[in-house]
Amino acid sequence: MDKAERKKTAYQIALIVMSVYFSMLEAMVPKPFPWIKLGFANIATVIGMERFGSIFGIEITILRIFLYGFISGTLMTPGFILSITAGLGSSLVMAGLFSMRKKFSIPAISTAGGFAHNLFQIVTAYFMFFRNIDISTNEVRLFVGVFLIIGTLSGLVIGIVSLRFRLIDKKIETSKKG
Amino acid sequence: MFKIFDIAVYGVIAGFIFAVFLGINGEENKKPEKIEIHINNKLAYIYKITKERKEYKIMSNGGAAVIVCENYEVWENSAPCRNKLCIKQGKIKESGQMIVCIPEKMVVKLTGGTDDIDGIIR
Repeated sequence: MDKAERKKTAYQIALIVMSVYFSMLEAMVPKPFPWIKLGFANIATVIGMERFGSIFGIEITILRIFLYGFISGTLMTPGFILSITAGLGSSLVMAGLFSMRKKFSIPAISTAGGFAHNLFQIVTAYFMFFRNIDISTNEVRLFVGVFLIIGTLSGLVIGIVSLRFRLIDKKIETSKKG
Repeated sequence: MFKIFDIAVYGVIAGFIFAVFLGINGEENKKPEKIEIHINNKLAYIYKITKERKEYKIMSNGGAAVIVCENYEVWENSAPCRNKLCIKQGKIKESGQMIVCIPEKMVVKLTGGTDDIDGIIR
């Protein structure tokens, strides 16, 4: 493995570890339902996508979810299934937007990813638990709306934060060259 | 940091969330489930609201009245009172609405559904 390859792999490992850490932090936040995810761990995906491409970012997401599933002992639980579908779904949405990178800024892509993340969770949860129950009540609509807003906001925050990350990164690179 | 096409993304997301919140207070929550018929201030009959046409013959104070339910709407077709005001009250279909016949002391009321507020006490 030449130096560039090694650097890329090291970067990926660092991002995966960081996102696993974020997943653990998220698990400590009190939530109305036990298995919903806030999506802050996606920051690693966004950074990875920006630095090394969409597939790099998707790899980070998948590995992070499996790794966290192993560590927390939640592999194959409903929470894991929510996580993998939401993570994959939002990553694919972000990858799709990334292919048109020239037209969208990072906060927008990340916000779309965060929104898609929670939207996929809701859809998956509906198909897992609520097929036979009538849930078209006001309370459910309110929860869905607030939940989507939370996902969108967390995506926005991640986008802005990773933007600064990227700027700092670029500074390091330019200072090394110069 | 901000590109022009961002608006498209934000617009779609905002529109979606807006649509979710717009769905709140929709009509379907006020869909009543039961027809309650009170005679002399006492609950005398309860029927389920249906889509298909159903006619109920009610014995009230002065005679027989016919309550019809069709397409989730309820109205009175024949009444033993003199003025037939109850028939003129027309069709009711929302939770809380009622048809009142004073000489017969009869109240036909729709209840049920999740948004059933009977009154607000200040």
